[in-house]
Amino acid sequence: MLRLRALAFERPTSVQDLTERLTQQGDAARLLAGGTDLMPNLKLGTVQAATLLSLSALPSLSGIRRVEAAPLGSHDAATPQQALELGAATTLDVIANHPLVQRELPALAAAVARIASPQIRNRATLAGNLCVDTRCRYINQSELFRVALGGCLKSHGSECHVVPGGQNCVAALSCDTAPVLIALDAVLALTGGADGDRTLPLADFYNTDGLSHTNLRRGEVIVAVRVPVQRPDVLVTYRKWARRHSIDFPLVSVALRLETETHGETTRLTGGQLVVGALGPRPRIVQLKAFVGRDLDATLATALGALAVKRCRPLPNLPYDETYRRRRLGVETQRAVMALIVMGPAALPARHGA
Amino acid sequence: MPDGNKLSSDHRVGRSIPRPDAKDKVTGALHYVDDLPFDGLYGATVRTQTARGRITGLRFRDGSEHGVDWREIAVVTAKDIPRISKLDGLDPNLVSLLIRDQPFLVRDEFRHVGEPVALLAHPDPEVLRRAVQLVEIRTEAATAQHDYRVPPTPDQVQHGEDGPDANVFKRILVSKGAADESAAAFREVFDNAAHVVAAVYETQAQEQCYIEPNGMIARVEVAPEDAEGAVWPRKPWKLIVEGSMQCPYYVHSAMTSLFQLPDKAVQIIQAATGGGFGGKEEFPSIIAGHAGLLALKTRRPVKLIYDRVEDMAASTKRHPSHTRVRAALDADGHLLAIDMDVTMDGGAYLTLSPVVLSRGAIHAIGPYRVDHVRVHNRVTLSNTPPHGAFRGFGAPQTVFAFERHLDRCARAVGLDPVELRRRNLIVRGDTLAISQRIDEPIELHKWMDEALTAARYEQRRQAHALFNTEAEISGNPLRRGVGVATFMHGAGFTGAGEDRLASEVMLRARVCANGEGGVEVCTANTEIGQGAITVFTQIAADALGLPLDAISIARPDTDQVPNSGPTVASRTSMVVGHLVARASDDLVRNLEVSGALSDDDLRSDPDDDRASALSDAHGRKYRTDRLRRALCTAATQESGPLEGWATYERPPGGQWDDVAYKGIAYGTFAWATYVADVEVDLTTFQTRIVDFVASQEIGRVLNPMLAEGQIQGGVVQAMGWALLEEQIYVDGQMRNPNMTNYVVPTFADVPDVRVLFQESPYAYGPWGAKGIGELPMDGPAPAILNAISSALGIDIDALPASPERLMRAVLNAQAQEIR
Repeated sequence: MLRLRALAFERPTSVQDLTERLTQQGDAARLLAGGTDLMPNLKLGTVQAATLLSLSALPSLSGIRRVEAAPLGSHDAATPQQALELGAATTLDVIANHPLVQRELPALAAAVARIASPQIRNRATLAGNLCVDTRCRYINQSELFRVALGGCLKSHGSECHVVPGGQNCVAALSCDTAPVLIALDAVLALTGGADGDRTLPLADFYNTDGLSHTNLRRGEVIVAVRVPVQRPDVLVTYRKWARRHSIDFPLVSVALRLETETHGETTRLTGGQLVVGALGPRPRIVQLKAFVGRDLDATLATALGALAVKRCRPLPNLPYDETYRRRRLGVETQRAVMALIVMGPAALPARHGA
Repeated sequence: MPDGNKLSSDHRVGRSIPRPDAKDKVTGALHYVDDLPFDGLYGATVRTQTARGRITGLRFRDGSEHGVDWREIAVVTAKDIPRISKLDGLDPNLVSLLIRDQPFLVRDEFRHVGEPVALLAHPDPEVLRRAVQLVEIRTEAATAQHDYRVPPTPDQVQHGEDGPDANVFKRILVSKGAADESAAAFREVFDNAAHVVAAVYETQAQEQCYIEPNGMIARVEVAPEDAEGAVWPRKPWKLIVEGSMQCPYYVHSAMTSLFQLPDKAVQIIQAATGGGFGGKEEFPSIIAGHAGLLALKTRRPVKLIYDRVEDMAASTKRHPSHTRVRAALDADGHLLAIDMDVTMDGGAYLTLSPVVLSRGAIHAIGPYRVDHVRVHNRVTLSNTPPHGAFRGFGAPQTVFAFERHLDRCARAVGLDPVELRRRNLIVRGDTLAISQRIDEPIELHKWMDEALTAARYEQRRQAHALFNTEAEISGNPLRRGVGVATFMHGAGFTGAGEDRLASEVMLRARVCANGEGGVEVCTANTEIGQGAITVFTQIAADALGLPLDAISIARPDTDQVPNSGPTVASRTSMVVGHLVARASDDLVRNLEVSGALSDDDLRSDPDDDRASALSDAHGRKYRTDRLRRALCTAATQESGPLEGWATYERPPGGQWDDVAYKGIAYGTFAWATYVADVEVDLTTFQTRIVDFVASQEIGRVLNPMLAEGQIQGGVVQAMGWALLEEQIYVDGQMRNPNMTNYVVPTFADVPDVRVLFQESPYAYGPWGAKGIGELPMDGPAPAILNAISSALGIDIDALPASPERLMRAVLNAQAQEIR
């Protein structure tokens, strides 16, 4: 059995109390909510911590509600927008099964339902998933193995085994919520940093350093995730491939956002993006500007599939053949387009008008 | 069988009795080894990091910065073990198994990554974890052999002399017909055949993935004057080891040899065990030895528990295999001759490899009639941790190669794969490749047809042919296929193996909690999740005519139970269950002899025609209340509780010739036909198993719920082997020793496995039961790969059939078409 090393356990009773302790202790402290990523990593020794700050006495961090929010996304900045605010510590199971999420953000509900297993979704939280540690076939190993290999950038070493000679850790973000939430223009509400409360588009949350891949500042925590309710002509979906259908990290992960307008029988693209996960430490965002004006049809599906293959080159950082993963990324992108074409804007209720 | 096939409603066998141990397992009340109350030291293992070399020294680096004080840490190395045993003059550091080549602790030369070099003990496991990393092993590298399939270069030879047998642990030749005459006669059969079909098949290693990793607790009892001082006591002492294991007496024999102790001075106790699948057959002896050495050095109890990563990286796995098959057939698809060449990867030490190879060799040609056979088998060395026991034990590898090859033959001849099998299956009176004549009343054709009907094989085959044609025209990427495997598995040890084991079972009168008389069943066979406790309870209850609550099963403890052999080889229900029934009979006879039962206590019902467990049962049936009263008295008699005993006796029939590899290999076989229906997506190369039918003849179903569960579990384990599981080795180092990167299937990845049973009772199993533990591991991989090959129209000959492998196969085939 993997043993947990001795740790201090603290249970702050207010968010301020939490961020103060976190500011004080810095990286030596880790937030504990569901613990489904943190606890195994602590036991495996891929993460060190002296203190666990439990979120169990902070019910304000959980829950889902509808809010009217000034849009912070890049799209349609003029009109105020309906959004759902998802508390940072809301469990994945609640999100996947919440009627509001299922109705207003079906792509998110579907993506969350594909994470891990029912038991893990019962414990794991949204912010926990967004901050899930990066993964690499060289780091997610035994200490014996890492020591025998002489370590790597992410574990007491100075050599990257994925990119020989590389000085930047390219461990992959294997989180299912980030791509789809970026495609949905999600914004994070943060607190506790030097600047106090602030908001940050999720698209700007990650950086390219696999050792420290989020842009959280010292003492800062995610309070909530605000996700705009999409106009009916904005279509979003997420596709994931893992070797098995449950309890598995994605090896190919792609979210697709298609902004459209419909005239009579034809639906055309007005914008959108492809958000690809499981490549490196941050999701790759590919804008679809070059395709504006194109009809939503099988030709577009093929073209976007080819675009994904051209613009994204999976690395040998995850434990599956990268040639296959690259090809599969094209297939999944193409299938994502086809799924959105089938769904179509017409399938949505007409209440928002067109 | 005196009473034919029928079991009356009075029987406990044949019914889905719930497991007596289930409640404590699901509520957590049961203690696995790491849950046992414990006040002692923790142990840890320092291991080699390269594949081959010689140790030139150990350096214990200063640990003051890490809170490690070497004066507080007990260290054991090979230097603590004498070089010559007081018992037999051999090196006690070498594990006593088939031969002695694997050291408990490396003395100088080592052969694989993760080989134990030093053992550490300390009260704080966290200090211990850091200490392990502070031990520097200085080595001189030697040339490792990483590919078991190629002959070694002179500097790679580690077993035997340089030459054709270098690094070959064992060779076995199975031959029959013309192959027995001469090579020329055998060649002539091929020369004159209408069809000759040849191909190569490969299978990979597989991890057992029991839920509970390996672990042991060891204690020593020494005389007061030996409490301190030298490692090895001068006065008599005792070693007690408790832990997770399948075979207490294997551990017992390994400990008497390592510690040079008489049998009585070693006590081995099985703790509740969370799965084994063969992974806890031979390997636990090493952990027990390590825990024992630390306990001896410190004179304190020591607990040595592996975490998942250490368990996967250092312990045994299924043997990889490479098999070349050449078949000669006549124009009608009758098999004339088979020439097969099997190579298995034994890993760094011999361990059980020759026996694994033997089972593979015997099962290679399956239930088919072939007059001329030559199967060359060898198991060779490579510098990885030794491969060892795993459900199926060599048979899944050869069954895969042969059953895949039959589909290839069918295509060459122009027959449906099922029709080819139908034309070659044995009937009663035919002989197998090992020249064993099958005299039991088998009906393989009928049983295969029943499986095919249940699976709707013919309808699926036709529908899929149409679907695939349409799909090709319309550009639909899906392809469908249905595949079959027909095979057999012999239960119990091979040949004279059971004679050598000479298993014994004892039943003892006892007083139950309610004050009534009952019986305790004493065997060394372990409950490892398969249901041994339940089945023994049912067998004893029915054999004695007692209610289930009158039966208790003793904990396997070598101080308490006789040696009924290991819990392996599908032998527990069939071989040991039969002994439980016979010991029940013996106990009743002893009650009669002692006068505790008399004719007045006999059942009055003259029409009691309940089927008996044994063909030779003495048949006197007593009233339950009288029997319980007699047992109560017999349990409390002054001379100790009355006992009933049974010792294994070989069923009548022929002998097994271990040199010629001919004769009666097994008293009986279970026979099976498995049918897989798959859909493959040509854009993703992903395979979905749509339907799976597992149909088998197993003599007697003792507990339908358990039997169905065991078949389903085995099929799912084999599905993982067929489609997902792969160990990645680089320079002998396992690159995916964890369950995130070594992927086994979940319920979301497998269909409902439909299980069918046929019953043709075997005279020497309890109520006719045969062993079924390993059978379900043999058939799924070839059935699934046959289905995939049929769907794609391309032969897939290696496991696992991962999307990556299918992608390369399809792209290669397309490239060749273009050329």
